[in-house]
Amino acid sequence: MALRLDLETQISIAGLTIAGKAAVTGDALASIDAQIPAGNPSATGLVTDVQAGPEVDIDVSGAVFSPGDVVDLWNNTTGVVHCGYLVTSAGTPTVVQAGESAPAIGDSVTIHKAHRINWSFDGDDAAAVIINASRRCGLSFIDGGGRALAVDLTGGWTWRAAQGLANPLAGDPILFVWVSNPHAAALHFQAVALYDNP
Amino acid sequence: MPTASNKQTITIAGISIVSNITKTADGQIAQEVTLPAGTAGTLDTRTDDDTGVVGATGHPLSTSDVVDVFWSGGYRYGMTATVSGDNVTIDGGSGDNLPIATTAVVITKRVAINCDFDGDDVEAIAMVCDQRASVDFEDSGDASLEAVELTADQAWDWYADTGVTNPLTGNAVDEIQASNGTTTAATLKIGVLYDSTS
Repeated sequence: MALRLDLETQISIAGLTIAGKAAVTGDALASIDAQIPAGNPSATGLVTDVQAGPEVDIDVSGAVFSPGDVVDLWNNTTGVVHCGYLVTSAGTPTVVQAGESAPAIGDSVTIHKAHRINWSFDGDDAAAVIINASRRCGLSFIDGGGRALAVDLTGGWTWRAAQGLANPLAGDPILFVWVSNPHAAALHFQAVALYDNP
Repeated sequence: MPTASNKQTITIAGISIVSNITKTADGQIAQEVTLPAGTAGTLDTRTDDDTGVVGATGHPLSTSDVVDVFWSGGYRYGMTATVSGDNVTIDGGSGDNLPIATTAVVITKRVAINCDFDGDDVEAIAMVCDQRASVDFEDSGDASLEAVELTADQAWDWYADTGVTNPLTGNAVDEIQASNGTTTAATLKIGVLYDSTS
């Protein structure tokens, strides 16, 4: 029996109210309702070098992280979140690689270790993917080949196949996501993927 | 500064998620346009995938009008009409291949909406129509940038920095061609929030 997702939209834009309702059906559902705790390791430092990859050297005092940790770089200079970096060398400098975009040399960044959430589905089969985070967070979708998509998530995130927009999660199946919580309190992360069995 | 907000509520399988997306930018555009009703008819002759003759008693069309043709399960837009009494020869266009002869269709002249913005600058765009409709964003050369089929009362929206590819990149939007896919007059709302300064 098909699952039905009911979506009610209320958009306020340019003085217009754009309201709509849609029903999306699919065979299966993968959902997450998680509290992402505060308090994962974090450290603030200055970017001292940026190489292709990108590979970023950050002047951090002490060995806060371990090689293999996944971190997001919250850029205190630009306000941007550079998601999904892998720590390849801990200490001074801390070297991180292969994330989304890159800070510039001289930027102040706060490195936050991300939380792994096991949320698996094949984006190619998705009819709808809907996410909400109660606070801003870095979000990285990970497939078998590495990062599939990274988003500076400031609240909600939605993609529906019926809208005809290119599927940002096409390709290898999503295996899990990384979420960083830089806040002093827990972050409520909710996500639903409704998909068809091939 | 102008703000666009989207509150979405989804429910599925006992799960309820309320997500909020907020975007700010300098500029905004609002369009609220009446789309005249289309004319019901039949595809009497199907010459090929993009050529045929529609019999539509009492239609208001003239030769050289650009029309959209809707049927259950598909639509074709930007077709050139040649009128002979109640018969309208339709040719060219884009979209789905014409259905088999004898299929019931609605044929509608497009409404040109004068609306200029650069899709590369858009932070948020949303639209909704209270009837099935076609919306085609065109550049100054009348080339289609993005064609969207709207389902009645279902919002269509896109937001920057979400990882979902911008459907309106490239040439600036110079005009929007819209049409009504039903025989009931419709209201189309389009809101755009964009960065107007550089």
